[in-house]
Amino acid sequence: MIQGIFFARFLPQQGTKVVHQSPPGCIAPEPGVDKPRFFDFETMAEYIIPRQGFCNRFVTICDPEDKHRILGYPVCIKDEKYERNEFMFNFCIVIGVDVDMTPYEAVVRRLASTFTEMEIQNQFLSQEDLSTSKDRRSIAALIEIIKEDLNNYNECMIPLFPIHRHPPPVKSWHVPISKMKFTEIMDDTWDLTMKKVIAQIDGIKDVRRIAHDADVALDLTKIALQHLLYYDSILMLDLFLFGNIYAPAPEINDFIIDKDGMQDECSNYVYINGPRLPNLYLCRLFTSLCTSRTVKEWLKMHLDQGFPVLNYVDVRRFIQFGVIKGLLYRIHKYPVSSQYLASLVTGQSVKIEGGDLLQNYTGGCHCFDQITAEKNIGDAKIMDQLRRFPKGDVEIIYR
Amino acid sequence: MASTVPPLCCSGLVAIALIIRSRDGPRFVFHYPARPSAKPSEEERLYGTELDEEPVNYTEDELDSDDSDLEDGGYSLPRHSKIEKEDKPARHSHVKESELEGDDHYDKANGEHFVPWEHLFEFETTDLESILTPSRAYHKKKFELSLDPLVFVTYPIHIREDGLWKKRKPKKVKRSKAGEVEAGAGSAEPKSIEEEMKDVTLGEKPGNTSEDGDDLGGMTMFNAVFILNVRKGETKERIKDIYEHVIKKFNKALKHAQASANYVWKESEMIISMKEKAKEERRPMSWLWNEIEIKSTLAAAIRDVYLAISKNQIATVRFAINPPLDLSLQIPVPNFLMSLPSSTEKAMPGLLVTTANPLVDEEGTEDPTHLNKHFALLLLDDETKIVAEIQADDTELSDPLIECIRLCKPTLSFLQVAQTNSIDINSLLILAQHLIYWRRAIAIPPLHARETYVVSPNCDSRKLPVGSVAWKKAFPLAPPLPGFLATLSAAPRPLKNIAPSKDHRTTWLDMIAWLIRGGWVTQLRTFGWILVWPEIIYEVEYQLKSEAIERSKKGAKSQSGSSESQESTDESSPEKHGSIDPSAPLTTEQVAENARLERLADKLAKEAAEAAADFAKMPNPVATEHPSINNAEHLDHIAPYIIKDPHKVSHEESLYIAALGKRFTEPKSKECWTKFTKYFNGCEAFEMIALQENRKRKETWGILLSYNEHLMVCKHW
Repeated sequence: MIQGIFFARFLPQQGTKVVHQSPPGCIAPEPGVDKPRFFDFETMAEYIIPRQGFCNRFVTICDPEDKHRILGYPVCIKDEKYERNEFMFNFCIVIGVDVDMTPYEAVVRRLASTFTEMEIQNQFLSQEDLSTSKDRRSIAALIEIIKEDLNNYNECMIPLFPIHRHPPPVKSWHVPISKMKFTEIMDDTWDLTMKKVIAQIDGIKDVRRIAHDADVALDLTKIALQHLLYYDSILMLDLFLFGNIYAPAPEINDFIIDKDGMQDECSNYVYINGPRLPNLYLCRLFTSLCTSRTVKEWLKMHLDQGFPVLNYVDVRRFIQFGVIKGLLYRIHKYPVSSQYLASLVTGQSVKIEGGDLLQNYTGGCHCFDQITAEKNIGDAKIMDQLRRFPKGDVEIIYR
Repeated sequence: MASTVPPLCCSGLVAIALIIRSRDGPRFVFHYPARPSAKPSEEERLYGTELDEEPVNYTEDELDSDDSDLEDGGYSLPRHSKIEKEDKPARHSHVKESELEGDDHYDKANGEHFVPWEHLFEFETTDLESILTPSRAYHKKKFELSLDPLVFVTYPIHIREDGLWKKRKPKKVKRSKAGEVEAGAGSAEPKSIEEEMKDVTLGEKPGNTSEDGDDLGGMTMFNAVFILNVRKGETKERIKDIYEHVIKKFNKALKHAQASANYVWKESEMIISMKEKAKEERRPMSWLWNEIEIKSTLAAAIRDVYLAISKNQIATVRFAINPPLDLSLQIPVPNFLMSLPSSTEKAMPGLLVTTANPLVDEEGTEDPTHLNKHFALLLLDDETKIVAEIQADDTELSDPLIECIRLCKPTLSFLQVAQTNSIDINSLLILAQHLIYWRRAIAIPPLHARETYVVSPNCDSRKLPVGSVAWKKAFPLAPPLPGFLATLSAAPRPLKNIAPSKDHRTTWLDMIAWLIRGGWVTQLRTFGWILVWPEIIYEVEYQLKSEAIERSKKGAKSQSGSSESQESTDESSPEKHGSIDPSAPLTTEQVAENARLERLADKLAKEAAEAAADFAKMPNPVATEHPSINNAEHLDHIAPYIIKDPHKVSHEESLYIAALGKRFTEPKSKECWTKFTKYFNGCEAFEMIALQENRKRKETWGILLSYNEHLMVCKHW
């Protein structure tokens, strides 16, 4: 939310002055306005029109009370036609110090560049007072409109894009799940590759499979998915297999105490095979997962106790629900070869007997999922390969 | 030792500058490093708990391109291609010096003398000194100016209006040792551990007359400016951290030194004159900086603060005044995580993950100032090394701290240590907190062979190669590190079941301590909630119904006898003032009202009778041996129930708990039920109950086992 907006100029005789402001009197006193000002303008003036050396860049300053932040882009145009051969101005936006300023930075930059251009072309700013032409909108009206539009519609000359953080890299063994119905928003203008990739997102296929099935290069597939991640329209999970291990995280407490009605949400998502059971069963299913039990073993345990889970619950959806909500986390398997570790310490490359295919994956940082995706072999085959290493050299860490 | 606190991302600090305003106007005194790089600090590109570093497939430009098309006045910073390593500033090799870019003087095309130290980043120091000497409005306030892409943050100090640097105090009042540095900390701020830790230790205060006869130089303000370059999006948190913990404290310490010894002015004067002389002699910048760092303790202090803080380490500096002022500064780093970073959050590999937060009070509420006495101290480095360091520090706290280190063991809770050595628990906790705050130790639940330890999902396996070597050195006879981690991770069980024999337990606990210190393993803990089975629910329901029927029977009786009194109360209503004659014939409204009341009474009676009849049909509750497998027909429609938080129970939940309490036959189980129920909230680990209740571990687990049928249990870290 923009609290105020103002246009300041450096006047050779009077120094830095506020020429227009909105709301009235928020920066500099104005006749007939009796509201407290945001801050003492005289204190801040030297940062609003700073020395030339600091001009033509994005500048922000907080007021001494640490309540307001002024975002500006002081501009200095040098030309002999001006008194003192230069013209300095700044269109500033005032926001609260705790407000994220990143979306407003682009606005301030655009204001500076637009008005610089207008000034260079027809001295729009410097000749303001002299101009009587009716077809020009006054600067006062303009800044008022800019402020109102940005506050009310989040856009004006340019939309106020939320700046997202750069998303994490897409790995070929990840499984994308869509968070929105792409079919409803996609149209002919969408990128063809993107459309091909989106068509393959089903919550089951991993990135490598998607690339293959969509007939798109893996790199391009990753870039397309990265885009979707940036706009938060998909999320990434691990590849679900019954041999996977999942463990409860401390957040499991949120489920048990039914925070945000999570239990019913889960129940709607997973009871698709039969009658609904009381939510307590879901609690028991989550809490009985542990670091040493594969999903298969966990199902067997419940079956032995007389609860045929598969008859009621879609287990893949159940696990995915837990992972998405942060109630569960996947325990990955990492092969570690002592010989390979030793070679990493000395920096000398080794050729471990039997390690032709997987040696470089045995430093403890590459999980079975990655090996599966990159080498195109399943768990059993990986184990076969690892058995070819010298006896006792390879350990598997569950992490 | 393999690792101490895992390195977190850098602080974003790129330079520190000292600027003063004297009678000659603003002066740019000193900056460090001499030729800083404006590049934001490189950060790891790992997210969540992943370890696989993918080759970066996008360039810096792409990263920052979000607004590039909107940016018209874009410019790029002149970047020094060769940037000297700042690690050992005092010892430049002579060969390198001549090659340093921007080290030498030259004459510009217009004949102007280019002085290398009069430029910082792409600014002239004459410009910087004017914009970085803010007016009195900013005195002792946060000053935050960003000149894209740099942020200048500081806490400017002005001279008092009366021309003194501190309040003149009546001579007889003895000043507190910590001096103004702490007094200025502002009482409005919540006192946290950090605040209470003495950052500033001063020797005895002498008769403070040093400013007499000194040239005060007309200095009216000074300002140690911290220049940061942080990635957009994390600016706010970074600035807040470094401002509160470093910038404010450093400037306050300078103010103290200035007030007591005219320190800032004297040092500034010296540095400025050295610079002027060097300018005349056209000395290279590296030579001059070397000289300044040797001659000026303030310059050396700025250097040391920069070197430590930019790498997020602890800075220890000394201002050479009499008595010397020692200052330790750091941006506190978390020493454990309560939850794993999500797949979109930056990774913090190697940081211990556990929900065992030692900063909770006896009631279990978080309190950053309260170290829980049931935790144990785990040193983050070799004991002899830490002791040597503390001895070298030689402060009044040194001896007590060393004693604390000697007594505390990772297997003993603070309370146990205090009791066995008959020392005051509170002093022990304060000392331990000091060690924790200064990153020498962490607090963990006491290690025990009965507990289960698993590989941490956040461990930094990239350190396995180095870690394995260090492990071998520390425990030559133990299995290799990967093998040991594999054992712990494959099938979690209590340590005593893995250790080959009882004799090995001490060593194995040492091994676990080593692994926790390095963030390799964490304790797997047990949490539970009370699970109420239908049988219990029915029993309580039945009880409640029978009571309700009893009540309604009594109620019916009293009602039939009280119809008159009912009317009399009616008469006490305002209508009474209307002087209505009670013997007067009833109006039609009154007739209707009476009829309605009668109908209501009839209905109630009927309902009560029906309820009684229904109740009579209900089977009597039967307490079976195992309520969890009671599949009597009348329990079919009742779903089992979980009590979420025994601290806040409804009336019914309290009846469930009471009903359960009657089921336990073992006297100990019966006795402990009411005491233990408070731990069954899913947040308190069963492993801590024995300590909290001051009972034997084995016995406690026996009791907990007897509750098993009525608990839902979950294991996590």
